[in-house]
Amino acid sequence: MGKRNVFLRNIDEKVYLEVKARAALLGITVSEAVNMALREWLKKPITKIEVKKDDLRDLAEKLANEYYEEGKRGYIVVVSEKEHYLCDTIEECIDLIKKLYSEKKIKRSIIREIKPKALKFVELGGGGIEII
Amino acid sequence: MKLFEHYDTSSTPPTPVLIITIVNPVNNVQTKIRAYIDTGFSETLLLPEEYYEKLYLMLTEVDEDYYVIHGGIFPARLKTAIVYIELNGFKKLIKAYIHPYLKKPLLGRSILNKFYLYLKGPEKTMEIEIP
Repeated sequence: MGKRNVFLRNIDEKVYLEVKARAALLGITVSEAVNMALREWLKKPITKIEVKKDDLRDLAEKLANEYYEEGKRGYIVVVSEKEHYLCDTIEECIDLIKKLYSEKKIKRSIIREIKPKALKFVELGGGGIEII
Repeated sequence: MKLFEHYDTSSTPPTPVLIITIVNPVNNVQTKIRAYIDTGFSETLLLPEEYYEKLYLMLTEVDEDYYVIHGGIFPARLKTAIVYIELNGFKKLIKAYIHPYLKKPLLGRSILNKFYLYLKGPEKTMEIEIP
């Protein structure tokens, strides 16, 4: 692979000086250190994802934490900023949403289990071919 | 109860598909889909984004943080929603996953493990037994 000259602006001065000092200790150039750092960075999965703001989800999160602190368990159905319901099961949530929908009271709802939210990953084989 | 299905021969190599019905449990809006058998997918059903609107899944959306990482580097955030899945008498309320970039619906192990599947590759057909 060939080499390319890149001029970078706004590099943090403290970071640059530390990189320069460490590179000198290792007997390598700053460019070699930057290449090493970039290669390592590219190996890591991107974990920070921009998530669109969603008022109902934000409210569901807030309510779930509050109810959890109070010792409540089950599910919350959030249908608007001013209206939410508590249910024991998912089936109960669906029956409630069905009733509200038939009464033309809602166009959207969020079901949220009363427990702290955890980041979950699903396993999907294919190495990306399923989205190409 | 036994079912017979054909492979999708438009894909290379041909892929086993199951025709299932997805129903919104709130307004009963439903659609038949060709779901690709994917034993590499750990969950129930993975749907392309278009089904979120088509089936009004904003009515049964679940607030959870699910992600999938493609090829070890490319992440995607999934929505989740409650739907009924129907297959020849089998009907179950499940949590389906909605993927922003997916091209075809995928049926994963959490559903497939409820059936007996016999893939007759050379004949491009599949036998499904629902116990």
